[in-house]
Amino acid sequence: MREERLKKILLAAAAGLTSIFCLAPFIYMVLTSLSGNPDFLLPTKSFTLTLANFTAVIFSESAHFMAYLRNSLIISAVTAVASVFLASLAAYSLTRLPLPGKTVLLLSILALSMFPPISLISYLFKIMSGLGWVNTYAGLILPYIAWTMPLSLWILVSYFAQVPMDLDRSARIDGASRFQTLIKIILPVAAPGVFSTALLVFIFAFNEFLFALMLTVDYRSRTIPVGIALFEGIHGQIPWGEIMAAATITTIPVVILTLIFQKRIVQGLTRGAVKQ
Amino acid sequence: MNVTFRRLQKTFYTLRGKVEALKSIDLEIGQGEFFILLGPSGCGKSTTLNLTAGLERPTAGEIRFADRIVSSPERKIFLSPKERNVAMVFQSYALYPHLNVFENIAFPLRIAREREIDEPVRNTADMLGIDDLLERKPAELSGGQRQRVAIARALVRNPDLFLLDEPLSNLDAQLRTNMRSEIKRLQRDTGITTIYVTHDQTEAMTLGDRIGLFRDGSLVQVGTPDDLYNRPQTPFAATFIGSPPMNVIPSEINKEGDAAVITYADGKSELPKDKAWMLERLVDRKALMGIRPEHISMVTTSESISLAGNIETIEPLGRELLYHVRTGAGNVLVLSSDEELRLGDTVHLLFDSSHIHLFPSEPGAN
Amino acid sequence: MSFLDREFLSGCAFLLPLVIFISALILLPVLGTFLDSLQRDLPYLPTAFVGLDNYLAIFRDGGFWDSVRFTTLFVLVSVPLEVTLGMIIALVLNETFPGRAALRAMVLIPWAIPAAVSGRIFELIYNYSYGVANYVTHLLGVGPVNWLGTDLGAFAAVVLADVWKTTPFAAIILLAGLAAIDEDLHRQAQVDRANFVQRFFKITLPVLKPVVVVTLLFRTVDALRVFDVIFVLTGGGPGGSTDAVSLFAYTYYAAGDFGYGATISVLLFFVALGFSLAYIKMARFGEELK
Repeated sequence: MREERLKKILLAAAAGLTSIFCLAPFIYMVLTSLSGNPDFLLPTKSFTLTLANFTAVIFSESAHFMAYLRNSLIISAVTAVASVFLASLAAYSLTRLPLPGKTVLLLSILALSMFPPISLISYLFKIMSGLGWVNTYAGLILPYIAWTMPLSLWILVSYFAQVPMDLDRSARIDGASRFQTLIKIILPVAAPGVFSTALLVFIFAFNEFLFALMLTVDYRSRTIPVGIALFEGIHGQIPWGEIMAAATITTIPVVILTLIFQKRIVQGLTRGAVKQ
Repeated sequence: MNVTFRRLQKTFYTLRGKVEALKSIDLEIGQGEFFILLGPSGCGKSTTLNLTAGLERPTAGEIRFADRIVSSPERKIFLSPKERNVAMVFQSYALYPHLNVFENIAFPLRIAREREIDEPVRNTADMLGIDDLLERKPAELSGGQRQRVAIARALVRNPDLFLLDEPLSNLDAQLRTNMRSEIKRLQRDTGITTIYVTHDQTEAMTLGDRIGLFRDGSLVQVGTPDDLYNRPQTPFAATFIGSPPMNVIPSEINKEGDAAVITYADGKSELPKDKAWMLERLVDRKALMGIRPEHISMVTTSESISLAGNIETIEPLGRELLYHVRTGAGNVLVLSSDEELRLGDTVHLLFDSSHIHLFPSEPGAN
Repeated sequence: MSFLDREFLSGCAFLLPLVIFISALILLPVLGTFLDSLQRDLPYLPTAFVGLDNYLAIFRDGGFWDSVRFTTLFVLVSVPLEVTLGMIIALVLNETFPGRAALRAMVLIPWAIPAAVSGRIFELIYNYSYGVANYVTHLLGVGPVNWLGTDLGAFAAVVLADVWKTTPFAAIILLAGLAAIDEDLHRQAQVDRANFVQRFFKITLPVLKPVVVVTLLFRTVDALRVFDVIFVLTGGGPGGSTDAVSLFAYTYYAAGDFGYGATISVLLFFVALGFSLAYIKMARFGEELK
């Protein structure tokens, strides 16, 4: 059939272009990070394989890339655990307990998550300055928890709503308190969903930029996206090789996580955005 | 432990308005009794069970466990499920999917921080014949095995009261019969007061010491299976209990000389002596007469008191046949072992007057 | 204490952490920003209440209108591009073919990379002398393009970088919508001898329309508040031609002018809120609680 063949050709072409579109910048980043000279595309130059950019990034004390990366990992991990735990309490309450107006509450919380971050960052900065928490982990983790909670709540509510109510009732008959029911029954039963949520929150916190830009000052709490964005080198010439090496080091863990857990991520993202 | 319900009411408010799930229930369940809450879906039987468990709160009235009030909105008393020492088995079994069989059974003990866990769990599992399944997860069990785990979990901590909500409805027919006798045996052995919800009258008849029949949020009749089968007090009880159901036929009662006669289309029966009081209670002589299909005989020749009709459908039920007969008084079911009759045959029905039930005709009821 | 109160109270107790965090760190800052927008709040002058002066000043500020114009154009160009490309990718991923799982994983890569990092990658891509973009234009026989140095080049550069980063999200949402379409509709259309182009325009697209609208709205809210990519890639340049509203506000914050920055943020807030509410309404959220 002609139509079938045409469709197959179009499909193959689209799939090919899609993979180039998605991968090319990523590959270009990795190549540059491995090249001694970032201008290897020029006809007069050629690609020289080296790990020098990586050693420079990893061992350079003054660039602080490793400190930024450590900050990012710690801040994102704490945010993910805290946000999901606190949101799971709220999600339990909203799916299990008789509260008036919970749909309105849930929708308002969703609206909060769509606020432009610029419309709260200046006052947040004032609060954190007042508390003396600018440039500390707490100064970034606390806003991140608040900022990711609507997302956590939404995804968790959709997972919790699928846990049969009879399990709760049964646990309560068995003598469990509300909190014990949540910890011992609901969270383990919804574990895959809880894990997806934590993973998404981790990635969102890891990628966040504006809060980190305003609320951190130096290597003591600055996160890696801000570190990379602001890195200009010391000698005037932008050190592309080193920047791309830092970008690669930053990106690889997130990309690996994404590839391993792609199904869960897709599931979580979809639940967070559209109801079928 | 005996359980007492006093003027128990439950009202819900939904978008469609007020729903009276329970109108006003008065009931006493004795120590060690196996009590069945029976009725069609939405009649209030599950609400009663949930109120007893403490999963829901009554709108008014009172529930007592022995002398202790466990629910009473008027006195602002409400004990949570954990303060009541009740156990419950759900229709869906509600096994914790992430825990294996052992941990499922152990769950109530762990929550109560019992020191002895291993022994009671193993003993209970032994009692239910699931001691070789302790390491399995619920997903790896058959329906019958899940059912046993749910029962084991309920029994493991010696509850004062055992509640079961349609526990057999997810099982296939064969298994249901087996589990039924097993539940009966367990209840007799443990002597725990048991309240069992079902919509299946066969289950109710075989399991219960007594049955409470519900309809539209009210208790219609409370009694032993024998009471409900042989002495139904309403047409609803008459048709709900027994399979095939009792025939309920509109009729008229008239005095003919000394005796009273019940007339239904061209059929007639004498009013049994013990039902003579009916005459006093009747308005305009109308009554509903109930008679079970097995208490009707079919003859091929007309008699002065027989009810004539045509056979419309014949259902073989194994040993016997169920005939649907269209008569001047409506459709009548007849159970008979006579295999000679054919579709369309005209038959004449004779009612055994010693098995006739009479109900005052309710306005609007058939 | 009666049971209803206890149930209600425990429900509230479970909600408490969420309410505290959100009130203290989202609602309070937003209200604070509102307040700031009514003040003169500069580092070298005492803070003073000025009523709507900031708003009046803004409406006479050419720079603000430039940023509004840029942001509007940015939304109008990038969002339809993202949703169109996302739709193509979703259609591809909705078919069965060898390597589909791998492709689906690949599509997530741009989404997973921090926008600030992808901004830097694109900065290198657009490098005038040795970036890959001009390598490609050279192969095509066109002279080198001054991507980040001209208004049009910078606009295209910013849009392309944003499209790369956010198309996967659109694709994933649309894919979920596609997967939910009843297979029988397609079988029926095939029996009715519609070819695959007809099937897309006459069956898939109309059925998917609500999901497409939701995706458009969601992407619009997100594009309105664009910051990271532009901050890294052009810094709003050249000459303010890619100055998004968020970035415009940020430059005032960075200079210590909190009153004026807040005023810009408040205006952006209301525009974004309008689109957010439309999105929430269209996506029919909140149904699982009913």
